[in-house]
Amino acid sequence: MKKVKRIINTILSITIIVGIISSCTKDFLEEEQITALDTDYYTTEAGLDDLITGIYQSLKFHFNYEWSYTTTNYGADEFCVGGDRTMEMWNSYNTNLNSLTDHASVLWDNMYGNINSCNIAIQNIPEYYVTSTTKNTRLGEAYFMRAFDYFKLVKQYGGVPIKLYPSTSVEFEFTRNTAEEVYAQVISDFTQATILLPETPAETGRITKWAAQHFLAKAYLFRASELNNDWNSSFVDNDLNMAIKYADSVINCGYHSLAKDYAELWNFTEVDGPNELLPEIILAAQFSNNTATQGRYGNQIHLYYPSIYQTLPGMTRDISGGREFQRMRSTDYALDVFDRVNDSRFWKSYKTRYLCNNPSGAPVWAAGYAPSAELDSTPRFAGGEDAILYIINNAGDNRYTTENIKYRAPHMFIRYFQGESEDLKGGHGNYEVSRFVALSKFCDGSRDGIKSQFGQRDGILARLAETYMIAAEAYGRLGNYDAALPYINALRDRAAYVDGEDRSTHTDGGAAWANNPVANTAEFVSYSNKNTYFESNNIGTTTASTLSAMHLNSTSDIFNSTKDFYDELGASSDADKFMQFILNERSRELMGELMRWEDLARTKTLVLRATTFNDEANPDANKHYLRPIPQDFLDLVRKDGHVLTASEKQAMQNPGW
Amino acid sequence: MANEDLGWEHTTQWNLGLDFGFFRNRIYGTLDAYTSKTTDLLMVMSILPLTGYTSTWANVGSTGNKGIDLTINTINVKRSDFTWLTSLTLSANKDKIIELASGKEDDISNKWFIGERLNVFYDFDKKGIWQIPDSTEAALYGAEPGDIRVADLNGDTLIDANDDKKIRGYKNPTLTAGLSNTFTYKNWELSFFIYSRFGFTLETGAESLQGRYAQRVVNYWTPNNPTNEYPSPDYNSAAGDAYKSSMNYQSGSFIKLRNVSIGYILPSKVTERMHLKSMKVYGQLMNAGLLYSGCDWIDPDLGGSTFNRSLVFGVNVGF
Repeated sequence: MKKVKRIINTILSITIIVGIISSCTKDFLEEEQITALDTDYYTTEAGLDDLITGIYQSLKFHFNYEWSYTTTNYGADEFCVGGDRTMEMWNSYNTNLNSLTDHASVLWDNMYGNINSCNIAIQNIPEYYVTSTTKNTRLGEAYFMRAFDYFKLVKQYGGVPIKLYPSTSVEFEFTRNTAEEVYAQVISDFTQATILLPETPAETGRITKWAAQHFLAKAYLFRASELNNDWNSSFVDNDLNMAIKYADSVINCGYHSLAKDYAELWNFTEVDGPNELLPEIILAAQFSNNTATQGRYGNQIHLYYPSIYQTLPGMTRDISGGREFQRMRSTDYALDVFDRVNDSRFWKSYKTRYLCNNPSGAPVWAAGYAPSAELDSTPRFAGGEDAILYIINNAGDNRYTTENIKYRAPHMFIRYFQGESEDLKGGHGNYEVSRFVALSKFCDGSRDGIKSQFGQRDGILARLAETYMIAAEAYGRLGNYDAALPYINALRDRAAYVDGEDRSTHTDGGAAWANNPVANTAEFVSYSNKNTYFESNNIGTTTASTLSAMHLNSTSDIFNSTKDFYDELGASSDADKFMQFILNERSRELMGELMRWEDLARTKTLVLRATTFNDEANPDANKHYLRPIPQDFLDLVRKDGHVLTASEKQAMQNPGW
Repeated sequence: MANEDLGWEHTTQWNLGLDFGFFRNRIYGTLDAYTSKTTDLLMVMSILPLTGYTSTWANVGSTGNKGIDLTINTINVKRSDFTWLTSLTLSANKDKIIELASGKEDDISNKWFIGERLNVFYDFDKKGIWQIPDSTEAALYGAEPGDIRVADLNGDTLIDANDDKKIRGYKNPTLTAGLSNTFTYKNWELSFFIYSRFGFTLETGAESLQGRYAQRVVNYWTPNNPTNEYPSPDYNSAAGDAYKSSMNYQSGSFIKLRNVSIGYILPSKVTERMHLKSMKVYGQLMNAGLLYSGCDWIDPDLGGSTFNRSLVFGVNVGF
């Protein structure tokens, strides 16, 4: 027994000694981290593949939240502020829009965060990427994305710091490059991407050569625009020719073509459905019902356009009608820029009719207004019947008065009552801040609940119609108006009603409710597949083609147009008229597609158009063509080891901010 | 981002402690005075997103900290059936930034200022509300009567974040004090505890006066009520006045009666009959109320405008 004890004691003391020895070495301080990845992962092919997959997330950023429209649709001519004024400073340009305003830094920070990822990829792929079949594609994707993000930055802020290498330590010394230098970098990177990227994508949504060429053409066009007139004179002619060259290359590539019917683009019937695979789409941020990748937001732009229907008697909010965040109220310009009789794009872009989905709440006939006396105090409409009609008529239409619409069963919203004169800034009819003709391109009936903000539709960043507009504008800027016509006509011809087409048909993404198990058992839905075309236009039923009315037979159709606001905009020369026509045609084709502010800023038509068409926008020509540089940047950046003085910050800030 | 230059933080501290007792320890306590200097202070700092990241751990600079902790206990009365004990604790503390990694220069983005305390509020400085007689001057700033008038610190007729912001207050108190008194009379015991903090600022008070969300009742500007307190309501401006955050800084100083308790120990004759060792019946008022507050719509002790006040009754039984 004693012996055993001694042995145990010996073992114990040895153990203790060993323990002490091992703790004297440094090994135990070293830990091998196996649960988290670090940037060394990007020196492997799998890591670089994942890095590139990750940078695709940044395309979704542009649809994730309110910055989607504040920086692109507000403060211009197509929309003004609706019933929810949360982001009104981006439309009015009042003092709440400044260097501290949230979205100014959100956009900046996100672009640079992604640019850093691109820089890692561009640095590491040549060295570490092995598989030759995808090596160029990955590198091209990184070049494209870096160019895309710098392009976004230069469109919004003007010249920004160019950084082309990944940071490995905390750096503070940066200074702004000129817009000229940023455009040179954007064009160089997009050009690289056009060389490296494949013609057909390995998976839906991957960036192709054609996407790179489209944006390269667009970057050339932007550089040649008026905002850069201080320094771009030596580039303009070449840029415009390059814009045409690359636009033509995409148009003729054989891979992309215009959708036959404009409505197909917005006919979203299910997640990743046919409209998201149309050959017209050149690049789209890929959203889906995969909750693992939807992140914090999903595609939220379905929220921002609808006007309020749920508070009207007989209505309740449903999935097909969407949540009405009512941020963007259509301006009169947005309605009047269309030839609403012949241009089908208007009726395929806007929602004008809603059905009763809450019959128990339906309004009753007021005494004396019912079709017959015995119907007094009975419901004006039943479930599934017309409940709300928006009539888009013109001044001089004498059919409607505030009194006679009481004889109508649906809630009637009339643009111009009898005797009201035209006013491009509202103040007529009974439209209100929350009741306006709503753009319906982005409705999403696939969502998994009425309240869900997580939109599942792809976000279109480029489609072929815009490529046509780029080529047309470039030709016009070169003075070759005749050459521009076929491009414009390609879009206008498609926009015409075809022979036999039912013009009263409406389609929008709310229709996905029918394939959505959360919604398709509803007895009544607000979604209507009809519009108010014939009543609004006050014409008899017809199915004749409108091609001849839409087609431009010669440039005089542009220069002699009486419906393109030349007088309001003071356009008298052919060049001025052409540019205003192009901007109008862009509205007709691309209404609300998150690019308007950038087009008006680059053409320096922003102040004129916003003050002419937007009831609240009051931009300052000396200040508002560029966004404020975020204050955080100015406060953190250093020069020769020192933080900037107040006057140095002011000098680095854009003028007026 | 991973910061490869990261090093250890170092602190040297001097402490002077004193325990004392007077009058046969009727008065006794401790006094601690300290001064410390920290170099290579480790903190998360904002960095330029151009690096791909927005923050990192860094050795941001050196700070000094000095203060005094004092505890005094007194036995004011000590009789056979009555005692009164008082205990006072006082802590005074002041930290300051001596130097930052970038040198003797302020780091505005992280709100670190040389010679100032580590946690500060930095914002525009509200002077009042633009009044109708000043409308010509207001217009120079793009303001209208009823808007908040902030100080144009550099006098360039432009309010901007580069040179019109200043330190508006400190987040941490300079002085914290607690005072407790305990009285016992025969089987009764009464005690209360008073707590206070001085010399700090609360970030509260900005109201958007926009008409959409619930808010406090405030004295707002109208042409007939030319107050300098709150700006005119404006439905059109969803965010409220552009400088509404300048209304945000209130004195946080307060004196609070945190706790009052009264107890009665049942005489042993009674407890014996109940076959118990001891029994105490007590009532306690928790979070009794503020005796003084620098800000009248918030409880600066708890930092909120809603709080619990509770009355607790209890019995302590020893078997």
